[in-house]
Amino acid sequence: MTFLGISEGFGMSSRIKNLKTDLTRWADSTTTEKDEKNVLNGKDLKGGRRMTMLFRRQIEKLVRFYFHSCYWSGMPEADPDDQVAFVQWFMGVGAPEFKILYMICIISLHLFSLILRRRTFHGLSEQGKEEFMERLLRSRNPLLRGVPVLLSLPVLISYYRRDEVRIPMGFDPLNLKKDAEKHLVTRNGAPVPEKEEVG
Amino acid sequence: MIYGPRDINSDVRRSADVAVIGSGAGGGPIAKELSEAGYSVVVLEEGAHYTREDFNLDPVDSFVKMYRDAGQTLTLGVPSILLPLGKTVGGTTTINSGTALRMPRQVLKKWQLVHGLRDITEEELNLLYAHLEEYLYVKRADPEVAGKVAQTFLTGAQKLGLSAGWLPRNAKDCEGYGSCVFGCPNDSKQSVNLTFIPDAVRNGADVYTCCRVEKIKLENGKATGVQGIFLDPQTGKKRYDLDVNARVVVLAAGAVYSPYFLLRQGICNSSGQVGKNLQIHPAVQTVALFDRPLDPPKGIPQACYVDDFREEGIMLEGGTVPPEIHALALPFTGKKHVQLMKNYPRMGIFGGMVSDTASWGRVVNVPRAGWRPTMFYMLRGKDVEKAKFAVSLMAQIWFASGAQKVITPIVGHYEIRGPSDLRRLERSVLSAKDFYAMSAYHPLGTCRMGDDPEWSVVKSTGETWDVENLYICDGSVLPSSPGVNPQLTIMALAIRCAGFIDERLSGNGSSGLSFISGKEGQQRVK
Repeated sequence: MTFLGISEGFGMSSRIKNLKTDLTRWADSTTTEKDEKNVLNGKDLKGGRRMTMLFRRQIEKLVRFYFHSCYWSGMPEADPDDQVAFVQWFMGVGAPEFKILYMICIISLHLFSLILRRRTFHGLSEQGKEEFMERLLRSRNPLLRGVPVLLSLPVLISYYRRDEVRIPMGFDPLNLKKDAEKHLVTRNGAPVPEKEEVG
Repeated sequence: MIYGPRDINSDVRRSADVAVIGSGAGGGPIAKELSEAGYSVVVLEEGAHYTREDFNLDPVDSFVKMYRDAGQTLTLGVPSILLPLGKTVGGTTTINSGTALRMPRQVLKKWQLVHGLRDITEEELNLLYAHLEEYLYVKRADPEVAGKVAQTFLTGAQKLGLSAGWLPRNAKDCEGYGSCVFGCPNDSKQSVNLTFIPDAVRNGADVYTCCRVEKIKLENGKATGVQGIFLDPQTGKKRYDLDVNARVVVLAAGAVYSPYFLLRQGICNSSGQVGKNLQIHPAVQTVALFDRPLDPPKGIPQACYVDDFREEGIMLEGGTVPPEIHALALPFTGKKHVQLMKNYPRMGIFGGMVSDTASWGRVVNVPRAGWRPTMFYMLRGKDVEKAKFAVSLMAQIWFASGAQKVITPIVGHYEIRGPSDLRRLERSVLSAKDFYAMSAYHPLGTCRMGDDPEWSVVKSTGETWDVENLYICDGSVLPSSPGVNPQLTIMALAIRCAGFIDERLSGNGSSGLSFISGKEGQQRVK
């Protein structure tokens, strides 16, 4: 039996060692598409890459869960490929602990779900997932509440940063930028030179 | 000249009168004042240099380029607090809201009485503030461009009879693009990257970007220069070495990185105070839903204030944020979250800032990947109550301005639909762990100024007690939280510090700096 890529049969220390190696490799999202193809072709992957791909799938499932109601709400649908790539990239450019913490949160989400609902999180119905997440969010225990808070952070940004989502909401950075260029300000009120260079 | 990565193709070894580490609210003014006085000044900035051409109003792009760790800097403690820090030419001023407030006089009184800073007088600070306000074009936010969210909130506050108004901002001809914290797209905000640094460069100062100082050179207890490395902006890896001999070194890396730097090198800590006394302004936000469009995020992100409870340490300031940031403030998930976000054009967001007095914070040097400090912070006691009151006050204001419901970050009170919910919130007894998510701004106090070498890190001149010719000049020297946005105060203290450095370098006991050498300057020198 495997759970998130950690197989039974290993000693505890090698399991932890493997997990640590896998966690550090996880940021390398550039190999995941190739890995997906390898899996489809029946090829086996080594621990680190398998871990990367498994977490990629976990994030994809989270994205689908967070935005499953978009269609019915009249909002643009989620774009899991684009959003998962963004989440992986965003965690790669931040503090290194953040992506490790993120993985711990994914594991914790399943563990809490197993303890409280006797199923992994993704084994729950959409309604069940929503109720479970709401329960965690309403918890006064900051560790329980921290899991959905942290998990939602890059996932929400990945959706609402898309132009097809934010422009209909009234935020069009490109247009605002164009308008800003028509209203450039200089300190002394002088006309703006073609390309200002300081020094 | 401002040197970018393309301009540096070998190791740099040079000398200067003054080496300034950091180019933000502390480093920028010092570089400008001293270069104007004729000293050779080198500014060393870890971040890159961006201009309005790079500011595309995209929050994520801005986080990655100009914020440390892409904006993912957190304090450890309960609750864990997001503390964004700038890493670019201009420091955090490039990505702040542009609020330019003077420090309340009561705070200065406290500094004088508790920390022995009697030689910083109200008259002197007022002169420096007035000078800065003129130089930075500080004026009240224009209601015409402030945006509907700010106007709505202000109307609500006025209906309740609260003291409220438009914030003074260092912005010239602002058009309200709602993007101050992602870089001003039309150069309206007069941040340090547009003011002090270009002026310093015109005076002959050199600014090295993507350059991390790793060590202050010491000889016989005196600072004699700095050593560091040039970084590849893409990979963060070392490219070349940097070695600067300087007569004076100014550490202006901010209240998180300045103490970290000193702790790493193990200097200036005979008092044991380096990194301690971390004070921040924890902030809570409320989101209100209306039956009419408020058109966020157009407007000024931080345009108005409510200061009726400023003396109790509560200041409300706010405006709007783009959808990708707004979404993070809603403590819901799945369908409910999407439904609420669908109403984004009808929602307003506002923030409450708490001046912490009972909480505990510290910057420490524990092993982490890269060049990263660790911040511990525990929100405690009265500060929790203040945060709760700030939320309740904002909710009342929102309702007074016609909100249908208010969303708060307090567990058990996420949705306030009317007076009964509000009363339930007001009667509740909260602890720090009851806050859904918190952010904070303005880290201060970690290398505090004072008259006692056993209780402070720097003298009132900004020079460290332990190392001669090493000055610290940024938010870390403020002995306590000013309760308002501190950029103007940091700049004022930096100009003051420049006067003392000038005295040291000229060796004649008086400053020849243009601003300080006049009648007001003579008063200060006496």
